[in-house]
Amino acid sequence: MASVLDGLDALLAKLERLQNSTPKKAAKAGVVAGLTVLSKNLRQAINSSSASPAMKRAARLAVGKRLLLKEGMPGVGKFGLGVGKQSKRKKEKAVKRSADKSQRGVGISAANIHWPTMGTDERETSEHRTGKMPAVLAGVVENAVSSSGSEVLEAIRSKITKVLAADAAH
Amino acid sequence: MINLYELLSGILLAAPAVNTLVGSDPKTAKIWNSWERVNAYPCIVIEVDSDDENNDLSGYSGMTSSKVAVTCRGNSDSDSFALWIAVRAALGSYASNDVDIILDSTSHSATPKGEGSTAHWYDRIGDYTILWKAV
Repeated sequence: MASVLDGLDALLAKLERLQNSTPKKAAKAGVVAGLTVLSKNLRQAINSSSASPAMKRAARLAVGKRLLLKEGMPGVGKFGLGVGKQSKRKKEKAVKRSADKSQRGVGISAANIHWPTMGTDERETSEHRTGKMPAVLAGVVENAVSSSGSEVLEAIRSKITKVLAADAAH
Repeated sequence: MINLYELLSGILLAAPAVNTLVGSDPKTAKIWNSWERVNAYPCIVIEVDSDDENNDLSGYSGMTSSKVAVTCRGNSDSDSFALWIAVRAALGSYASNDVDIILDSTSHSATPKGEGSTAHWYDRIGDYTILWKAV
């Protein structure tokens, strides 16, 4: 009487996948989960600021995140105001606003969100004075980071656990 | 495709606690989607900030995730607070198979007087994530 142990090839393929691709996949998913929490808290910090509703909305639209995909560094991300690619819809809106001569100014978008974040001096173009913008959104990113703390780590841990479990069960 | 402003304003108008504060007639109720239309308080402003297609670990999920800011503005802090409580309860109790309304955070702020203005406003802003499936 003899028993045949089958499925060794499938097992080896699975172990190889768990060794090679799963760590990168889990790291990326974990970082995105952490960035999502940070972006949420940044929106909250913007809403708590004393800026006008229009400025708050412009700042919320400029909140973005980006995963930096570099060889050997699968788990690096960036978040903040004006980070990431501007969506087609937002870009169209910013262009429309800047082309509308009935409105003053060019509007605030990801391209110039640093004006209310850092403030500007009195400026003038060749045609007219454009005035000065106070730093009404100063410190919002720092506030978002400092208020996130363990919530970010927990989101990363939870997501990585889910990805590992899903990949192991696959 | 769902118009989120229409959906949320419909939910709020149907809630007695909200419509006693802002009115129940869709044409005259103080619920707007733009600050330029605001002319009376207390009021609610619903701003849809983004629509992003969602995926899950298995790939495409068919869900869209939208970020929506719902601002409850009043002439006094207590007006803003009362409206906010009513709005939160109305949106929190909404149930549907295709739409999920999640409150991410709440913040409150006082808008300083504008130059030459005597008006003062108090805001409570609810930041919502709305997951919805096109039906």
